[in-house]
Amino acid sequence: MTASTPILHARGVAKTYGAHVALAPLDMEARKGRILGLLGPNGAGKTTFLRMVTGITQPDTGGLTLFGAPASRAHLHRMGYLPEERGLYKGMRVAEQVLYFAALRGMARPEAERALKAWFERLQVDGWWNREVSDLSKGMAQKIQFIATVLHRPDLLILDEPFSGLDPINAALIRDEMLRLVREEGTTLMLSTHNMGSVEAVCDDVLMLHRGKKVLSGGVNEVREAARRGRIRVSFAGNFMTFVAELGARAELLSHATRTEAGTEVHEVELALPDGWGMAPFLAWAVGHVEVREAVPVRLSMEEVFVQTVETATP
Amino acid sequence: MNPPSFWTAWGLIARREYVTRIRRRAFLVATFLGPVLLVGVVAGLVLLNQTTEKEVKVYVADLSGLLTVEGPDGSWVPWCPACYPERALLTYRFGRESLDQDALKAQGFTCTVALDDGILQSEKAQLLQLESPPLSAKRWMERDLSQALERLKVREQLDVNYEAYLALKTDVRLVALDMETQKRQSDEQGALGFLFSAFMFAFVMVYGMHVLRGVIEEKSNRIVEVVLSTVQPTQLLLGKLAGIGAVGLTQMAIWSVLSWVLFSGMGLWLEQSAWMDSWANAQGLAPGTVDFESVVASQAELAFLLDIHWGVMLGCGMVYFVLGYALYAAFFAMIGSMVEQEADAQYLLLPVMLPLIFSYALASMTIEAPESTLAVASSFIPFSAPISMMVRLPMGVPWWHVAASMALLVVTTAGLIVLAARVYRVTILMTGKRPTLREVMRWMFQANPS
Repeated sequence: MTASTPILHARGVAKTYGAHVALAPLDMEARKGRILGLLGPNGAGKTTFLRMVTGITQPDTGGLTLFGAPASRAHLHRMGYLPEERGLYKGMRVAEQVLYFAALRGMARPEAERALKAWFERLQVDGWWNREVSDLSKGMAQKIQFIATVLHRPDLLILDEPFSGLDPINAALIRDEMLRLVREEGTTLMLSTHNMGSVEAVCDDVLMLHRGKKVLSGGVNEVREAARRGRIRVSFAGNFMTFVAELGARAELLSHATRTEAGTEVHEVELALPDGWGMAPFLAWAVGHVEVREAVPVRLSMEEVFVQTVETATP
Repeated sequence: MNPPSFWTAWGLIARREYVTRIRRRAFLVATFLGPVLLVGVVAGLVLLNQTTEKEVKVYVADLSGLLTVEGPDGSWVPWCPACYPERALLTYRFGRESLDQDALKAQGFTCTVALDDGILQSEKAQLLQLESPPLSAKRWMERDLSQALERLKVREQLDVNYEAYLALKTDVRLVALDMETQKRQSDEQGALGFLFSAFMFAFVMVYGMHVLRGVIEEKSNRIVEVVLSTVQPTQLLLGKLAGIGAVGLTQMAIWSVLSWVLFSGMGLWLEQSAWMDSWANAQGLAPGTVDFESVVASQAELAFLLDIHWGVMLGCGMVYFVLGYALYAAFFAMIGSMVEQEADAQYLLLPVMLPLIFSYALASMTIEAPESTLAVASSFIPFSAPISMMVRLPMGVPWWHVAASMALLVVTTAGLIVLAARVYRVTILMTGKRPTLREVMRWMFQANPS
C-alpha cells in the first residue's frame, strides 16, 4: 500500500435519526501515513461519522472502504479509537484493563505485555501497572486510554480530542508519540479536535463538517490559502482618501489603521482582491497612486479559517 | 494478529465481569463470611446458653395442698414424685406456705411458684424469680406442674387411673403421603419451598441489579463506546449476562457447599458435646447410642429434611436461577441502556419486576394449595416459573411439569434476550434523550435498527 492509497474511503455515507440528518451524504478519504484533522462545531456530525468508521453504527446509505476492501467488523482490530467521552472500568487495575482491550482486539497476551511495558516507559507511567483505575487523576487516565488505543499498533488511529484534560507537558508527550506513530510506523491518523493550534501544528489534511455537511476539505496549506480569498495587507504613505477613491470597486477594503513613521503618516490597510487581480497587478496599479512601503498576502490561521467557514456556511 | 471470534470475545467479556466481581470485598464477605457468621452466631448462642446455664432451685408454695402430702419426717413432699424427674439443673422443694424473699434467699432458692386451687380453673400460677430461669427450665416447670395437676384431675374426677387415662387419650395427627411416591409430605416441606423461592427471588433481583448497574456504569462513564469499537453490542450484552450470572452461580455453589460443611460440622460438634447425651437421656435412650441424623429424624419439624432430594433441589435451583436470571437480567440490561443514572431506572424497573414480585407473593398461597390451578399455572408461566416451581418442588412435582416449565422458560428467555439486545444496541449509545415506548417497541421488532 503506497502513500497515495486511501486507507479510508467514504462514498456518500449518510445517517439520519428520525427527521434529524446527522450526516448528509459524505465523500472523503484518508491517505496512508498522513494526519487528517476532522473539524467542525459541536453537532456537526463528526461523532456520527467516526462511529460509522469504527463500526459502532452503520450508515443508512453509501459505503465505506477500509484498507482497500469494503468495511467490515474484520477490520476493527486494525483500528484504534479514542472517543472524546471515554472512561475506564473502575474496578480494574491499570495493566489488567489495557490488556483486556488488547485481548478484545486479538492481541496475544505475551505480546501485549511486552508492548505495554514499552509504552509504560515511553509515557513515563512506570509503577502504575497494578494501580487501581479509581486512583488515577484525569490526566493519568488520559494517558492510559491513549495506550489502550495504540497498544495493538493500529493501521488507522482515530483520536477524538486526545489532549483534553492533559497539562501542556503531557499534551506534548502524547503529541510527539502520535507523530512518531505516523512518521515512523506509517500509521494513518484521524484527529478530531477543536484545538486549531494543534491542527496547524500536526495535520496534513483537514475535513470540516458543519450541520452534517462537508464544508471544507483538502491539505492544510491549500485550505488556508483558499480561505485567504485574495486578502493582502498593504502599508503605504500618501493620501488615504485618494487611494480609496482610486481603488473604487477594484477591491474590497476590509480594514484601515494609521501610524506615524519618522514624521510621515503611514496607512495600513487589509484588502480583498478579486479573482484575476493578484498581488503583482495590484502593486503595478498601487505604485502609481501611493508610496507602497510593504505588501504581503494575509495568511489565515486555522482558527480564522474555521470561523470564516462556519460563518459562510451558516445562512 | 487476527480478531477474536464472536465466542472468544464473548468469553473475554464474561471473564472480566466475573473476575472483577468475585474479588470484590462485598462478594467475599457475603459469600464466605455470611453463612459462617450466621452459623457462628447460632452456635455461639447455643454455646453461650450451655456455659451460662445455672442451676434452678424452685420452691413450690402449694397453698391448697394440691400437689403435696406430709412425708415421714414431717416435711411436705409431692404425692407424685414421678411428675418431677431428676434433672441436673432443676430441683424442686415443696411447702404449704409462701416464703418471703429473705427466706428464699437464705435457703438458696432462685425462684418460687405459688399456687392454690384456683389453678384448676385458671391454669395459671405465679413464678416469682430472684434470678431469671432459662426458658428451657421454665418449660420443664410448666410441663411438670401440668402433668401433676392432670393426674390430680384424673384421680379425682374420673374413675380410672392415670395410665388408663393416658391410654384412652387420643391425639389425631394427619400424615400426608404423596399417592404416587408414597412419600411423607409435611407443612415444613412447603416452608422449605418458600425459603427456596425467597432465595431465588433474592438471587434474581440481586444479580439482575448487578447487570443494571454494570450497564449504567459503562454507559455513564462512556467506556461503552471504546468497547463497542471492538465488539458487537450483542457480544457485550451476552458476555455481561454470562459473567454476572456465573458470579451468582458461584455464590450459590459456595453457599451450598458451605452449608453442607457447616451442617455436618454442627452435627459432629453436637455428637461430641454433652447436649447429645442429655438429649438421649430425655428420650430414655442410652447416652452414646444416638447420632445427629437420628436427632433430626426424631423431630417432627425436621424429619422431612432427610426426605428431600437435595441434589435435585439444588440442580433445579441452579437451572431455574440461570434461566430466571437471564430472562430478567436481559430486561434490566435493556432498561440500564436507556438511562444514564440508576435513579432514572427505578420507575422503568417496576413494571418489569411486577411478575417476579407477584410470583413471590403467590408463593405463600402455593404452600397452602400446591396443586391449585393458579400455583400450577404460575409454575409454567416463564416469568413466574423460577419462583413458583421452587415452592412446589419440595412437595413433589411430576417430572414432566419441571421439564415443560424449563423448556418454556428456555424458549422465552432466548426470545427476550434477542429483543432486549435489539433495543440495547441502539439505546446504549443514546445520550440526553430517553426513548419513548413506541420507539422501544419499534427497535424490538426491527432486525437492524442501528
